[in-house]
Amino acid sequence: MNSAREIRKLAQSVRLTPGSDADQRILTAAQAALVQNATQASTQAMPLWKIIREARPSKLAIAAIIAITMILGVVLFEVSPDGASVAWAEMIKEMKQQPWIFQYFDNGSNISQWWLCPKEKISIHDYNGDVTFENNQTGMTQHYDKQTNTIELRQTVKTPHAVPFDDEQALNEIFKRPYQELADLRKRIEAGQYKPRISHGQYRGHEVQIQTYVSQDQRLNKNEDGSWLVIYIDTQNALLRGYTEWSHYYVGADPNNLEYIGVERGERAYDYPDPGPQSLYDVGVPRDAKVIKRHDGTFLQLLPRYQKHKQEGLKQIAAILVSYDTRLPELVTWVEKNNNPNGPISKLSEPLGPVAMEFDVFYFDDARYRIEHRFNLRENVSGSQNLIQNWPTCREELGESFASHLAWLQAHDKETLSSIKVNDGRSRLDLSRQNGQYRLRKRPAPAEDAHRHGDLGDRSWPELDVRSELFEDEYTKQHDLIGVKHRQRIKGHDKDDIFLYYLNPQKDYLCHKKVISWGHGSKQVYEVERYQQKNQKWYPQRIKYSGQQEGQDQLEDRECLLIHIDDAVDLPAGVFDVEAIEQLSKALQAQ
Amino acid sequence: MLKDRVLIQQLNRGSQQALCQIYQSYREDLFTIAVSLLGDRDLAEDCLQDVFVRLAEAAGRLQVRSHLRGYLTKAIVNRARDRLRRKQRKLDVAVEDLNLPDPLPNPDTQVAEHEQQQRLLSALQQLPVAQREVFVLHAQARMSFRQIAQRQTVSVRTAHSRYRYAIEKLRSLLSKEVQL
Repeated sequence: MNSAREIRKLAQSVRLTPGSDADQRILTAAQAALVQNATQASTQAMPLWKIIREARPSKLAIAAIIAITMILGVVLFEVSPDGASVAWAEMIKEMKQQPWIFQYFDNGSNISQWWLCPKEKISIHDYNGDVTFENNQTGMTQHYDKQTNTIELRQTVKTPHAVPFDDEQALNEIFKRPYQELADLRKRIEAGQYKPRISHGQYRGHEVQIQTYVSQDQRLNKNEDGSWLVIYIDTQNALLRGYTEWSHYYVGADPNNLEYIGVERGERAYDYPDPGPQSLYDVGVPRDAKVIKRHDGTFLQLLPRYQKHKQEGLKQIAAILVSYDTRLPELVTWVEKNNNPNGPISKLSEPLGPVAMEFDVFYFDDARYRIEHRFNLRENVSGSQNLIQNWPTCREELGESFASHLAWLQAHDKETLSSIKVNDGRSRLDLSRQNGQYRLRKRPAPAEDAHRHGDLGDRSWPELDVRSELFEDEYTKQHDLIGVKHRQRIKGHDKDDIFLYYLNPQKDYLCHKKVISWGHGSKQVYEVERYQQKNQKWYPQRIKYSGQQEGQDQLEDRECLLIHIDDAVDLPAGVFDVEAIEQLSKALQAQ
Repeated sequence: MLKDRVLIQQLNRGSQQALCQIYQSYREDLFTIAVSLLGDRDLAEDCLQDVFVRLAEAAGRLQVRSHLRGYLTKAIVNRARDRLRRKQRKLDVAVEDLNLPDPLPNPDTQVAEHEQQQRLLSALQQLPVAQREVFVLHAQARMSFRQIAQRQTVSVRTAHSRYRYAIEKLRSLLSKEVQL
């Protein structure tokens, strides 16, 4: 008893039966349970297609198909072919004329079912209870997952340069497969010089011609009539209805080292439904399955759609992005503590809630834009006490709208202005304040201005790298989002920086969440807490910003961002006027 | 396999005959698996009864997604697992307790094979439960390593390894007994 094979054979030879008393006891108990349950038993017969449908295959089926094909090729046959080959040619010809082919494969332990429509490039595969419906013309895929009872809808967006050759090839393989399998079977019969016995009968409700083949390898002749292969051809239309075969059966991942299992039966049944199924439900997927929308493929395929939404969303808009520092009260406390280590904490250190610190004002009109950056506190950090003292009044004046914010900023122009960038389509002008001095730069407008949308663009539809990949995690599944991952490695750094973008396809593909995990260990997270809609476009309204420093074990809230959008249809006159900015610069310098 | 599905259909309609047919078709396979896993005929009979009572109770709602054989095999393995877990005991079964059916009269080879089977069943009980289960499911229930891996919620590689360890240990145990 040395080899694994011998031990396994020994185990297979063990046949045990319960004692006759036990048989009686078990059957009596089971029959009693059946009688009790009789009222619940179904009285409805199940249609044949459903009987077939209910049988679920496993992934072993694929290995089995490969193995059967491979092994049959070397089986020796006894006699030469006869006129049956004419029927084969006719069968394949007839099959090719059918709009739909249904193929059912049963290898004795696994079942696989295909519905194929070569003309419309629709394929449906029932595999292990999981069913995939693919319409390759529309790019829509429906996938039913039996375990979770969910249907995922996937839309493959194809761009001219994003259709991998391999996919096209694989697609053709799928639709050619039924004919190819038939041609392979024919080759095997011809190579083995088989001579069939011809008879007639019924197969799955069809009048058929029955071709019976006997192998020289007696181990294969396991059909009841002593044959190894029986083919059923519809006598009315010469369509193949099915065939059963016995073959040596091997399994294994490595084709050079397959494990011999023994002789197994394989059965293929065919049908030609017209019209064919048009959705998963038509092949028996329960209608109560939850439907989830997903996107498939690389981000490159989604990019055109994403850019279209971004372009439309930021085409013509006026908005103010306000950053509220949620940590300022702690900062004040810290400053006070350090300035007065022995003194009591002043009233200023009482919890104040977030304080508006920065304002970005945006005006976009196609290629023209204006972005103003303003500070409430400006560069005077020690002035935080003044800011907090004035905050209640300031908060009231700021109000809740674009107009009220703009009014407050214009009223505090000198104290708040930090920089203005204007691009009028011809020239770009940068006005910035440094060390109390204003500096003006003017240059021709660049043809491509990647950062023209500033933080508003970055918080809404960030610039995404075309090499990014799609991913799924619990968060995408939970919120029905599209995950886009991008990695970068800074020269000299050991680890990648990882950028995760969670896009919301229900809200114009806005970036719902952005997670940056820097290679050195720190992390930044932006997450939309509230959305708003203007002119039928979605925008974020409130975004939470949190961070985690290297060595910290959890995120801490740092800022919240509020976005106020102008309700006015038209942008203010003169907002892109470069000369007006030049005059403003001179006035500010004079002060 | 279509026959099985027809039987399920009939069972769903409350057919006693279908129930008997299913029992007759699979009792031997299932009982062999249960004894191999549990090393105890009485427990194995209890498991078999549980499986068929549950099957009868489910009549009318049965939707066997895979083949009936696979369905019943899973059921008996689950039952055996439950029993093992519940008992929390190490089964140390004497060869004679396993009570294999007597071999057919004569030839010597059959007697020898019978003895080997007895030794194998006894040796199986000395394997860790996880290894024993992989061996029984692969060798006797003819399940693939992938299927076993799914059942045991381990990787295919782990299932393979467990099978290999089981074989090595069985080889060692069986050789030892022969030498004795």
